[in-house]
Amino acid sequence: MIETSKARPAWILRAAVPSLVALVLGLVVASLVMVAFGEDPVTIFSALFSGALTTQYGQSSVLNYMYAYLLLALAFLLPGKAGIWNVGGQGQAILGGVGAALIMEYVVLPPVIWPLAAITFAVLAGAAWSAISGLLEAYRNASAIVTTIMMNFVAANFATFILYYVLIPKANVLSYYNEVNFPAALTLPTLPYFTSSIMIFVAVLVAVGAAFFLARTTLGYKIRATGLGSRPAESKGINPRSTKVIAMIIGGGVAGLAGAGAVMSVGHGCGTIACYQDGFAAGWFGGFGFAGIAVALVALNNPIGSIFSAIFFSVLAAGMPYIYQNIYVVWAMQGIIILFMAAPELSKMILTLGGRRKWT
Amino acid sequence: MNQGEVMGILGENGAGKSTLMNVLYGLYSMDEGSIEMQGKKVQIRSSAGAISLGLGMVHQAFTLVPNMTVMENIILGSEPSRAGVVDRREARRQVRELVKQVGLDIDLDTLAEELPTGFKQRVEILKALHRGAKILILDEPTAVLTPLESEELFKSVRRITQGGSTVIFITHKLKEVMAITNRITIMRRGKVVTTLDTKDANFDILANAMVGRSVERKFNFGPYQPGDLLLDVDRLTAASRHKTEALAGLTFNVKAGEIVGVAGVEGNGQTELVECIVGLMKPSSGTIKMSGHLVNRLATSDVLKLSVGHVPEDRALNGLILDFSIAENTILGSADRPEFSQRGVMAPKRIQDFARRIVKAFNVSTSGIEVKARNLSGGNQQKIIVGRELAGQPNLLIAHQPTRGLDVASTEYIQSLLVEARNKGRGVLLVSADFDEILDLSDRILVLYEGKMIGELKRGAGIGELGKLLGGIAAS
Repeated sequence: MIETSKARPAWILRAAVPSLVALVLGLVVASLVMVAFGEDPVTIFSALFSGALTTQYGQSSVLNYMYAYLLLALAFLLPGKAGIWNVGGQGQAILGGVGAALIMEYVVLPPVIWPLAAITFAVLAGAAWSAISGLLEAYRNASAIVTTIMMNFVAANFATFILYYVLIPKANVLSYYNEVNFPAALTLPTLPYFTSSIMIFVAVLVAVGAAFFLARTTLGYKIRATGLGSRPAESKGINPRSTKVIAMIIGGGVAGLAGAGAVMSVGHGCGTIACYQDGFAAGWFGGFGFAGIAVALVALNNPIGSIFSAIFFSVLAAGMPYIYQNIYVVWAMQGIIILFMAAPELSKMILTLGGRRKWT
Repeated sequence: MNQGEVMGILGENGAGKSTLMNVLYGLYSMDEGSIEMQGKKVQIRSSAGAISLGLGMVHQAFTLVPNMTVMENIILGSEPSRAGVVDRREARRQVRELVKQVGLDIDLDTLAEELPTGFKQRVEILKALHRGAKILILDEPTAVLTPLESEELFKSVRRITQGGSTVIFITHKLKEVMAITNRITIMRRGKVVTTLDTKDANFDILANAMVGRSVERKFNFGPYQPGDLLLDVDRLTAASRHKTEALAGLTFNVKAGEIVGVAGVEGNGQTELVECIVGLMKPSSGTIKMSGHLVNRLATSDVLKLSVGHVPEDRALNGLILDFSIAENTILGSADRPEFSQRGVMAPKRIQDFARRIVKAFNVSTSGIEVKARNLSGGNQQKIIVGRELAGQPNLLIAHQPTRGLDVASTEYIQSLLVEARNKGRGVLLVSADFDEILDLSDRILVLYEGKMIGELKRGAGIGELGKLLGGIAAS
């Protein structure tokens, strides 16, 4: 979008209001739910926030969650700007992980180039996976919502297959955990103090890049034009079908990057194929794929906003292990927040009932 | 209206026929006035209310459940039931009887989605009758029918009225009102012009009453000096989205320095014609040449590069992205031009300057170029579209319904821009269902009827001539 720099802060503030309202309402309603179940919200929230924000393990955990949440949010919102629903970030990330693992297994390259090659291949694998759904929607009218979800399952099983029939036999290890370690030359640099990789910087960089891409490049402009008005765009010579496919490929590539980060980062057992197995094949990433969508929705599909909503969701996730009471209330709270986001009218209604002035 | 008669409501597009019927059927609420049925004032607040008063409506767009059978569709909303369970045997008996009575033969067990269009309409009519409609409103029923199907429809309309029901037949085709109705009410610009018995009517009376004539508007036309051949269409045929033949061998051309008007009642192939020319639709045969280039198979983006401007019909649907700002809309389709972007990165300053120039040059009233197109009036939206297209200095401008729904001042302004473009030596193809506009602006008038050019008129042609051609009399 094109706007004067003076107008920008006010505009961003106004855009953030619905998200903040939803977050606050989510926290309030979640507290009421806790009280209803005989739990003390203050105890639970203080355990959650102090665990996530004051311990080294918790802080590292926040960063580890955040890059994946943020990248998967971008994987959802970039195609979303073209009007195509990518619910397959999960599967595309899994394919990214598979791609990186195959580079590890079959190619040996000099340091620096090797991990870069693995990441590139992961991005390409995620992009190729998403391209299938994009092409099916654009040219064969098969809704991407459906095909991406179905392909998530295919991806998960494909990853299991690769693990058991390719990677483990080749690595020639017999381990109870079925671990296949990534060689040190292929793991991403770790941040000082934290047990987290540099992926968090990569993710934030990608988010800022995505914001610039959408607002200032001609391709980003065409993607937004397609999403907001495919018919006027088409009548002015923008091909909405190919634009949708391109947006989908970009989203899949970003998800693939998240997958590469997951298998190539040290920390939380990731950096081993064991993480790869547990996560990718058995659900660790399943949660991430869908949490990414929630992160994007709370940020109203704004890439920069996604950075902040990713922080929030990461803190909730990282603080979970510190709650010794009913952990389901945290999940309930996430659901409640998403509900308020998805139904802005609901938030508006509650605010007007409270006699406050309208926020839009 | 009297019982058992067929009443025709005749009027050009936008005359208010459909609006009136929607009020009658409870879909729109009225601002003032009253509706009386059998001497009593009635209040119709919803379509359910209308149905209970014995009104039935068959819309232009059908409302059948595709994966239900014909019988299920007919009884939907008035299912005969026993203890809450649909009594299928009784339903079948009722529907069979109804079919026999009105002579609309149809297989009751076919799925609605498998029916051809004409049969879908029969189901709609049967559905309305099954609900006990005493007054049946048919909104442009022949628009979707072949001539043969129309004949069949007329026969059953006669049988329905013999059974004591009344039919309101909405149309803009003179031939049809003459053929089927007992009385005709003619509407123009939301008012009833006249009501007369069909036996007293003839084509001239109807055409003049329907088209009317507003005060002649004065435009500053330069001398008519047609120049180079800009658009050359030869024996063009194309299928519509419904797979029926929409264009049946059109041949015409547009030269530099002239306005060629394509007149026709909507739905006679205008949309397909314009879409074929700008590459949004591929013709099935024939050729389209622009300044010598064959453009039949070109993508829209390539066609538009041949110095063509396109003002599409329905500005809100096809012309502007409503949630984009004015500035963003002004570069729609031209974001890749070097003046707006370098190596894929846009230059916001230049885009803003360009948008401000358009806003100023074309008198768009807005508080700024960051205002969303959605928040502009129709006239201002259209000024942006026309401004955007003329800013590209096109040799050929295709304007499709450029002033539809605009207020008088905006209409005249947009029209004056077209005339100015013509005087500057551009070729203008004006496709419009507004007959005044066509007559006022065009150097040559082509009359489109059922996908064919059925006549060409010169500037200064009479309204009667045009009106007759528009009704398709020349084709019969």
